[in-house]
Amino acid sequence: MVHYLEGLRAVKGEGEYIHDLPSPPGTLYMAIYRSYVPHGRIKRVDVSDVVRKGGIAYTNEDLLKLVKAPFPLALPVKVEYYPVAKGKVRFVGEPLAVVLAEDPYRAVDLLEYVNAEIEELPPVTNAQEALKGKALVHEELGTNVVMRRHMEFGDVERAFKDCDVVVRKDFKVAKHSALPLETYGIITRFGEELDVIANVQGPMLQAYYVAKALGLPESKVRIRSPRDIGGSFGVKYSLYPYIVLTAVASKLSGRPVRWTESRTESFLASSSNADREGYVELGSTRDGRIRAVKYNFLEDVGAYPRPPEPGALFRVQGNLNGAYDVRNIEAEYTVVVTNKSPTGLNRGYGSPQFYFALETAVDELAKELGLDPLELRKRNLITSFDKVVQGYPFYETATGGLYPKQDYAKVVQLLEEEYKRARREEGMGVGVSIVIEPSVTNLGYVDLAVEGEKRRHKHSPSGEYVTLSLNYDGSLSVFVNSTNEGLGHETVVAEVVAREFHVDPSQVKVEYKVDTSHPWALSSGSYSSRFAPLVVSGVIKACDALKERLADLAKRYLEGEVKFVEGKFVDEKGRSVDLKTLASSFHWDPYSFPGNLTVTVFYHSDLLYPANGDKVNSSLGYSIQGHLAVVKVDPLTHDVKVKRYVVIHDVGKVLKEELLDGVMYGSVIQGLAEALYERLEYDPNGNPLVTTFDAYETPTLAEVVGMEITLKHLEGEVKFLPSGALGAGEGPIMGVLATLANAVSDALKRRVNQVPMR
Amino acid sequence: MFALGFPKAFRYSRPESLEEALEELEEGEAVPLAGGQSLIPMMKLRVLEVKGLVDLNDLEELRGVREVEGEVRIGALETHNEVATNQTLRREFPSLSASAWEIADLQVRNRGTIGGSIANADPSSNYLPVLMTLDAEVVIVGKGERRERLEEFVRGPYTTSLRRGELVKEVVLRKENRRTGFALARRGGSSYPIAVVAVSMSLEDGVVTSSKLAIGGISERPVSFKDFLVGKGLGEVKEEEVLKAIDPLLEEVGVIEDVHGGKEYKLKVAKRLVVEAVKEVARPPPVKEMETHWRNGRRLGPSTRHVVKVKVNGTWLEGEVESRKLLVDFLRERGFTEVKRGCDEGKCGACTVLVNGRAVKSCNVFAVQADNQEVTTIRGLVKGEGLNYLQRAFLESYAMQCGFCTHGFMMVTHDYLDNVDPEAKDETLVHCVKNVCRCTGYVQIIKAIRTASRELREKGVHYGVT
Repeated sequence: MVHYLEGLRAVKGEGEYIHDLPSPPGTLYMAIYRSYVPHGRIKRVDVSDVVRKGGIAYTNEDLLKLVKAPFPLALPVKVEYYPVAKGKVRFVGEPLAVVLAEDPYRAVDLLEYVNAEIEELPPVTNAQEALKGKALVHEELGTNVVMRRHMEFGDVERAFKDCDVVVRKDFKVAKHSALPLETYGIITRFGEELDVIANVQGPMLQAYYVAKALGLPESKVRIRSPRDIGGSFGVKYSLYPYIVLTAVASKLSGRPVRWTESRTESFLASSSNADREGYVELGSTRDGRIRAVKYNFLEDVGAYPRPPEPGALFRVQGNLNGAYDVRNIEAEYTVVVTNKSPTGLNRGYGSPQFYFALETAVDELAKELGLDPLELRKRNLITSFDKVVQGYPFYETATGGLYPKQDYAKVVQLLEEEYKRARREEGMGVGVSIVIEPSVTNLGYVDLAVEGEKRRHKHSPSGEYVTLSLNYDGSLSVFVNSTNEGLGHETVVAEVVAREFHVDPSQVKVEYKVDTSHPWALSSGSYSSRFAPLVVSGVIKACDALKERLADLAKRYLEGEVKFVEGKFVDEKGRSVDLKTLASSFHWDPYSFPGNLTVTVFYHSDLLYPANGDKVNSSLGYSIQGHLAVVKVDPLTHDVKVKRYVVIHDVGKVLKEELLDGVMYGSVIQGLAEALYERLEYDPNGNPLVTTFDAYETPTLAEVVGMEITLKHLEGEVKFLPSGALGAGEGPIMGVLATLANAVSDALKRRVNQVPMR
Repeated sequence: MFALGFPKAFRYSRPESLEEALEELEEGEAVPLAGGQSLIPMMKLRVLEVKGLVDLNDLEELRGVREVEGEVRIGALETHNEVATNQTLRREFPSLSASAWEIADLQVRNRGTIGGSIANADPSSNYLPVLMTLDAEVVIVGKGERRERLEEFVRGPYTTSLRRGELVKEVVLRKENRRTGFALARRGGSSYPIAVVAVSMSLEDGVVTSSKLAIGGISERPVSFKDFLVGKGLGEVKEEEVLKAIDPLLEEVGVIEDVHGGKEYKLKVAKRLVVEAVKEVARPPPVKEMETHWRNGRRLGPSTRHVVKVKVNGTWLEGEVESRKLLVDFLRERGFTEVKRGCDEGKCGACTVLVNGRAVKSCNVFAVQADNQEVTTIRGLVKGEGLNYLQRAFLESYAMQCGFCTHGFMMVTHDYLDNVDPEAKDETLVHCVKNVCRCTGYVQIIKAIRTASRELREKGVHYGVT
């Protein structure tokens, strides 16, 4: 039978998810009363009828009394973001009151007895309206613009002047949520200390935001996650406002409080990427050498710039040149607030939008130059990696990114073979793109929201703690303060440790979940494809450290230098002692065998340092990915059927191919859903139109049957990481939007400028 | 207030006879419950509030397909899967079979009924355009019995001529030798159809002598047109000619714009479907006859609470429940947490279990409806310690990531392979297994279903550990 711990739990129905955990005695179920208007002044929130009906309820004012401070923002603007509306409501779905009852059915019933009077204000429903500023989401700002940043690398003006050809390509990417199938869930007890169990995607900044909002020292906050999380894709980063809501409700009621988000609520108000529009300008020589690129992005982050927003713009800071050797780059970013739900992390965090803009512009340039789109890409591909840092070769981008040396030409050659073979019949189109996939976020990039000289502190969190113990019977236990959302982390860690110690994976117990009672870092969690490059490197470092301690113990049995060979320590005379003997000696007789067989390591790469001006190495890994799509487009309706999709990439060592394949297939189809169907649309009055799977047009397997997907993994050596593996968790979604748009444009003989394509 | 997936309280009753049911409907403020696959989601989304439900599922009078004097009479309680696969209907009315087969997914078709569907009169219903082109009539019972043309029965969106105390008893079709076509389009697989087109044509020597075309989904009420393409030879008719013929007809249609598309797009889709429906003869699904049995065999008087007895994985569980308690919650509260809740609209299928051996979305039935019935989860399909064929196929295909949808997928796959298509052919798969997975992109799930199918056929043993 295959070794797949999470899969085994899933087929046996033994997964342990948040909604499956028992409620502590006396638990009350919370239901949230939400704003039904997009923008308005709160005249009155009255819960007395709920109380009359025997329920417990708290208004926004009741709840805010226990919230000591608004959440800290990444932007230096006077926006106050609280877990409930204060003074005004700013989007449909914003919490206004909570109701508590012994039973979830009853809690929902009691919501009907909440009375709210809201004086409606004209809503700001899109970015262009926001810029006009006729209505203001936050009056105290005097504008709806919460950030403007202009950045320049190289001599952009001159470079554009010297170009023979300049093309400008406009684009729009719609608000989209990766929408994990499991909704948010929280169980909170807030007595002397705050004890939270939630399906967060890591302790990371959750604990920080919660402690700040409640005015608690970190020592009084404990956050835990269940063993299994039903998908996240970034969406479960935005749980912290709800954690604070349950905490306050628990404090006020003196009871444990449980909240389970409904699917409708998840559509309304969980997390999504921003509506983004703008343009890209590319300047090139007549023979297709791209000399300069300019980005102009207008980002609609919804009602509040919820941290880490506007990070979606800066996540790609180190790779603004994509796969190309372009040194002159300009970026002009405007972030506005509107009366829509706040945005946040969403699979690929900023990358799908960014590469949609860049890679469709490259096709536009190819058309202008009369060049084949792939040929143009080949002419601009990075070829030399001559920057040596800490002994390893990199290509240093104009914006501070360090691309490790990889065989880009090989990936493109394989892509070209597929490209030549692709069927081109009537009504069909072929599209390509080449992206550089960033992995392992350096949270320092969030600082770019502020001009360099105005930054008060330096930031570079990106590391992870790993704790490893050898148990008395020779089995091993690993603890990582992170989360298991279906990427097979337990399985892979067990296999890595088993290989390192030459034991069967069944001898390794992996706990891969959040518990802030154990060591954790501000960067701990599952996001930005950090597992393979960073966590597994940490695991290997922990194995090394434990082996060193074991070697000391082994010397009590052996003589001279000892080496670890196939599960045993061996000395020069060939005598050996095995793991089990050493484990047993230490645990049963520490007097004779003193030591410590638990190690905790903190792994952090020195390649990730704080931003310097507008330059930052925003990610630890950058890997090349070539995409190809073949589509068939109905000539009348323009409905798109994807016939074939190819991804060729190099993420270094493949840790477990079946899991990598699965993640990539999923990412291709999530990209397809975003490119062709799914969109969180609002009507012109600011009312959300999508609260069901029907309206979201979520694909089922019907869209995938008959579609051929080919994945090719090149396994180039990655020496600067102990794991030898670059990140792959976010996967192909970064390139799918652009590739499908290029293919559909090819079929229609006109350019597609927006996703979803309709 | 926003939907949170829990219906409001109501009185539930389960009469033993039609007479009793009609009395209850006449007296109280109750509405009839047939399959409930549209009604229950609307109650959960609190779009609809009902004071009482009269469950019709024990009324044998409303079951069956009968041939009477050149007519075929379809009982209101025939499920969509029964309509799709019934031998008589397949032979006489292939477009009706085809339209039933493309409703939602296997689970919804197992419970949803033709009577319930037409009484609901959803503008994007699969049935209405087809029944219009077949000149269907509806038999309505109340104080007496009346018969009405379907076109008159459907008054508008979700509105029919049914009066309080009345029920749809039968749908009646006349046997006539006609060529029929059916075509439907939806965007992402979870969405309702954008347009539904049906056509019926009488031909002489390949030339259309009379015809009827109906288009649903794009307007408040499906529209129908007589004599479409009359005089044309069907063999030679070109796509352009069909499009030219349809253009003036569509000008009159008041198109509803919604999240799925604007007027222009919907009209284009409708035209595309008209071409398909004219060119391709409607084909019933390539599967054997299916039968579903939901009779509880235990009368219950109207009450907001009932004592129920449900056999779950072989063990009888008894308890008093609110009538509105969904089966998914009933099961989860009793420790069957492998059954998941993933949406409020009865779409995602994460809550799928077997009821009497058939896949059913447990969020789309009330616990009281499972009274006296057998519910099975994956744990009930395994004997002993090992894994069964489905579990093995899913595990070895790496057909999961977060695992949240896995149980529902295994349950619907079980019904699909067991009762629909052991070969798991593409053409049946896409209309049956339509649960939502957000992680895998379905690729490895499709592989798992094929692996399970192969093992099932090669070894022939699928129950218990093999």
